[in-house]
Amino acid sequence: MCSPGHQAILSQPVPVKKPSLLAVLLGLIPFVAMCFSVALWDRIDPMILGIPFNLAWLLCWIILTTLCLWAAYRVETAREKKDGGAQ
Amino acid sequence: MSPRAVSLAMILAIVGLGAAIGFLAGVRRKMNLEQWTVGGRGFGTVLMFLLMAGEIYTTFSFLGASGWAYSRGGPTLYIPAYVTLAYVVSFFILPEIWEVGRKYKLQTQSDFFDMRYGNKYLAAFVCVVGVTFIVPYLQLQITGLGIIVNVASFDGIGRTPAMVISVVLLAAFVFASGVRAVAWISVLKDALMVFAALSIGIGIPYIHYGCIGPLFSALAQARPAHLTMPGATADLGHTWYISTVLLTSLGFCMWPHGFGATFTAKSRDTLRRNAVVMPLYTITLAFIFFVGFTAVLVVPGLPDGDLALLTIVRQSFPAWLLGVVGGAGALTAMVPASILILTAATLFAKNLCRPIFAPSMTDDQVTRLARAMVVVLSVISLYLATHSSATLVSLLLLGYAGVSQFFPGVVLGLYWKRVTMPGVFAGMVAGIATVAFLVLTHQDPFRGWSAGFVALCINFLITAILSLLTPAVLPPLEQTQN
Repeated sequence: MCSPGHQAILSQPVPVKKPSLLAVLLGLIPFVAMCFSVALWDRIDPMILGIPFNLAWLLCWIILTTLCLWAAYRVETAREKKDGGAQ
Repeated sequence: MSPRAVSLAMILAIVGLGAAIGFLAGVRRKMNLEQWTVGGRGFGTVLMFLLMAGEIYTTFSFLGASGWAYSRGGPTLYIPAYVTLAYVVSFFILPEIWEVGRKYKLQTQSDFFDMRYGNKYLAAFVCVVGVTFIVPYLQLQITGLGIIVNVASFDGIGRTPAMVISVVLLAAFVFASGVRAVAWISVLKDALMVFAALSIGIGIPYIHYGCIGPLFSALAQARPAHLTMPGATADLGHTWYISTVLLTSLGFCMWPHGFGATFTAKSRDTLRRNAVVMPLYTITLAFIFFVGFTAVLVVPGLPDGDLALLTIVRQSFPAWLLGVVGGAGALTAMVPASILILTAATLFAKNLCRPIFAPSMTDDQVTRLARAMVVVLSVISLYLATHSSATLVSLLLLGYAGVSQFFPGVVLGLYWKRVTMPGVFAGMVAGIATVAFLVLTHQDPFRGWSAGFVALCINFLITAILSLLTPAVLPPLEQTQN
């Protein structure tokens, strides 16, 4: 229980690990594809399987995002094993 | 039986089944504060997945997303984008939040701020802001429930009485059950929701156009601007899209209920795995969009876009299926609403009242106060829901503009040792003030940018600058835990 009058105690014994650069880069890919590049793909044609291009693009990237995160997951768990982490 | 009786009976049966599951899940466990709010901290991947899915798949994605596809068009695409990217953000920060939470036995978001920055007023402020911006989200669910019962009764039951009934039922099962029950009702809710989304998402374009392709061809011909941004709006263009997607994907993990749910996970690995799989869930949104876009040409001129999905379902299908869709919709409103009420009530009692006004309260008294707050919050949201005409999506965006202001304090708190309490406090106050000013003066979007995003930038800037100007705080050694 976090009682009142508690002092800041996180900054010294920080149990927080920074993610690896590779994992962060894998996480940035979906941001570029689904967010920043909107001007490039926000159009109706060509329709894909009858779906406007912009919606089809996003649906496709939902699946690709899962792949990116899966890769990031592999990278992070491999790194934690190597570091001899508790997990 | 008249169609009205059939559809209403179906909805009642589904909601009754959900409530029964909730009561059963809650009844065998003795509820102390930790059990009621974080389920005893032992949720594995499956239960955790259900809880998180229960939170994201709300009336917002069901009626709100189709409503915006109908009334706004292209800008509604921000929804699948932000939900997906939100999981990318959660992949990186939730495991760390969980780690800290386990180490310091945290239960709520305010606990985190209290622990990290050691200031009870900052923690109380976080709590007030969290509860305040949960209210529009709660209001959204109750409005959704009202719409469902109203349309399903073929306008026989007015929206207001419908909302009153749902709120009473809602408060009742929050009382009896707690967070574990909510996770189990999600099973029923999600199964029904996927069934409903697929059957209407495929069925409605099929009935009216034969297939998805002809639907979009017809729409592209009749309303060429509707399918891209800014769609049917004047100011929701690409700048709005980028700023809104950033705001909402960063803010997603900052919802007090999502933050609290993190602590229910069994391990950090559970949270990571969830983040990898959850985006796939967003694909069902496409089917919801198909329905909204079909409604543009089939039922034009509705006074309120949020009515589009149910109106076209009512027009295209027999009453029993309208009942199933309505029942699924009712559960998608009630499950998240219970989580929201539970979180807000606990926050208010545990992180605002006790530390600031009554430090001597026992855990039992806190639990009782939290239960009383369930009633108060339900009544406030009900009042707002009956007195507002905002669309479901704009209600959620308002909530996001508020809770996203926690992001600098949380993320810098995790990763930047130099960040200080005055910096975070001032940044957050500035962010909230900016949101309040821009929203109340009707300047959202502000010159094409999402108002919440503008506020978040100001917040970040002030937090960073003030942190560097104030002395770094070294933690007292005796507080170090072994």
